[in-house]
Amino acid sequence: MGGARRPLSITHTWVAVAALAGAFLAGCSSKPPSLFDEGKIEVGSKNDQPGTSYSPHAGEYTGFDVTVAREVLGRVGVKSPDFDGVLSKNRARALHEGDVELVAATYSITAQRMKPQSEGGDGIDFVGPYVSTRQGILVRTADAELYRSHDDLNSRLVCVWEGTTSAEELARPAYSKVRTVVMTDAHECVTALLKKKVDAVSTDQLILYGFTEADASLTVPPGLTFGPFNDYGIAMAKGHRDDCRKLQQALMEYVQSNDWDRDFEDNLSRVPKADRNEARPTDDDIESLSCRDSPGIAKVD
Amino acid sequence: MSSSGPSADSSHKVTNVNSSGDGPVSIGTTGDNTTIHMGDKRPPTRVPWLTASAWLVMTVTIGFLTFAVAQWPGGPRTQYVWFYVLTALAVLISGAAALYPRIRTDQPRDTAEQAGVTRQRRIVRTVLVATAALCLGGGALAWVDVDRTGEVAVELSITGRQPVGEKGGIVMVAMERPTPGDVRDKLRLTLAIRDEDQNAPTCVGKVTATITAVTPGVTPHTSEVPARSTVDFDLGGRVGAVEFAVAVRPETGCSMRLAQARGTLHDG
Repeated sequence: MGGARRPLSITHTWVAVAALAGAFLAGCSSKPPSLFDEGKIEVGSKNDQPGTSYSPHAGEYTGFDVTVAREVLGRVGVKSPDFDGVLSKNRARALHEGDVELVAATYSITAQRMKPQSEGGDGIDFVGPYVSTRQGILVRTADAELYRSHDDLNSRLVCVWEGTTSAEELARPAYSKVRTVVMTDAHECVTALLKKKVDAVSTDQLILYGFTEADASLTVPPGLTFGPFNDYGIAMAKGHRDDCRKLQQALMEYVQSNDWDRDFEDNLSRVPKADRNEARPTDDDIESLSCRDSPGIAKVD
Repeated sequence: MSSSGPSADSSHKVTNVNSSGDGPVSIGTTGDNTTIHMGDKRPPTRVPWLTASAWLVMTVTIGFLTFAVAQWPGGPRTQYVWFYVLTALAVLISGAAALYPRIRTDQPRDTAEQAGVTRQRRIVRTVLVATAALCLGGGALAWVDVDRTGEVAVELSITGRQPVGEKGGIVMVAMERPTPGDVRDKLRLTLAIRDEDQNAPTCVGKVTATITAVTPGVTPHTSEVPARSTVDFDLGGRVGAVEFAVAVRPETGCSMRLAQARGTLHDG
C-alpha cells in the first residue's frame, strides 16, 4: 500500500506546487479590477447645488458635474451610472470606504487632496479639471449695489460651508475684517441668506450662478472674486490608475468637443461669456492635474 | 636527491658520513665530500604567506573603509557605486581567501593526488588574494576620484519675503563659499515652488519663475523655469559664494512659497 501511495503523493505534491506557483504568478501579474468592468458605477454628487449638482427628486440628479460624469463615463463604456448624494466634508471618506467609486461634486483639486495617504494626504486621484472657476459671493439682488469691492464685505456676515476651499480662503489674514459663519451645506447657507440671517454666501462662482438660475432674487456681483482658480475634478480613491487614465483621455476628448459648450450652456446659462471662456480647461491643464500624486508644472518655452 | 662535488677525488677513502637539517634542504658530508640533499620533507600544503596576504588585504581594506567614512566627501550616493562594489568585493574575496581550506580532508587520497589538489587550491587562493588586492586598489581609486572630482551637495540659503502673492516677488538663493576641496566647475540648482496653503486650489501648474545669477561670471545669466526645476550653472572658474535672485510669478489669487533649494557642485 505504501508503495502504491507514494507516486500519488508525489503527484499531489507537484499539483500543489504548480497550483501555488500559478496562483503566485497570477497574483504578481494581476491588476486591480477595473471600476468599469461591470458597466455600472456609483458616483457621489451634491444634491443641493442647482446648476452644478442637484437632485430635484429622489434618485434624479442634474447639473454640470452630473452631465460631465455621464458624458465621460459613457465614453469608457459605462452607460448608466448611479448617482448618490454626498456632502462636501464626506467626499474623501465616501471614496475610501467604498460608498461610491467616483465623486463628481464641485470637488476642487488641491495638492493636499492629491497627495497619497501614506504621505499625509487625502489619497485622491483626480480626473480634471473639467471646469475652472474663482471664488465669489452671492447676495440678495436687492442689496447687490452694496457689493463692489472686497472692502464692502468688511463687518458683513458671510456664510461658507464645511469641507470647502472657500472657507479656507476667507480665513486668510487679508479678509480678517470679514465675519464668517460655517454651516453644513449650501442649502443651509442659501436659506440663511434668503432669510437675511447672513449678508452673503461665498463659494465658487459657478455654484453661485447655479443658485441664481434657481432663484432670481439672488445675484452674483461680477468681478468680486477671491483666491486662485478652483479646478474641479472627478475624484476616485488612489489605486485605479488605469481607469483614471481612461477617464482622463475621455475627458480630453469631451472638453475639446462642442458637447462641453452645449452642456455648460444647458446647466449654467447665467455665467457671463468671459467667465465661461476662462472656465474651459486646456489639454495641458488636464494633463498637469489628472491621475497624479502632486500637481504637474507649467510648460516653459 | 644527492650529489657529490664536481671536484671530488674518487681515490680518497670514505671515512665519515653525516648530515644535518630537517627542512627541504639538508647539508652534510660524506667523507671529504659535501653533500646537499634537496627534498620536500614538510607537507607541501603549507604556504603561510598566502594566508597572511589575505588577512593583510582584508585589514588594509577595513582600514581604508574606516578612513573613507571618516573623510566622506558627501554628494549623491550614486557616484559611490564603484567604491561600494569594489571595497565590498575586496572584503568578501580576501575573507574567502583567508578561510579557504588549504587541504581537503573529506576523503583519503594518496600523496600524489593530495599534492595535486593542494597545488590547485594554492592557485585558487593566490588568484583570490590578487583579485581582492585589485578590488581594494580599484575601490580606493574610485573614492579618490569622487573626493577630487565628484558631486558635492552644498547648503543653500533662502531669504526674502514669502509667501509670494499674485503681484509676484523676488526670493534670494545663496551658496556660501565652498571649502577648497569642494570647488567645482558647475552648480546644479534644484528649486521647488509650492502652494503656500496645501489645502487651497493648487497653483503649482500655473506659476513660473526667472532665476537670475546675481554673481558675475555665472552662466546662464537668467533662466525661465516652472515650479519644479533643475538648472545647471557654469560658475566660470569662480571659487567664492554665489547668489541668485528668483523672481516668482504666481497667477491671480495664488500664494506661493519657494520651499526648497538644493545645490550640487560638480565638474560634469
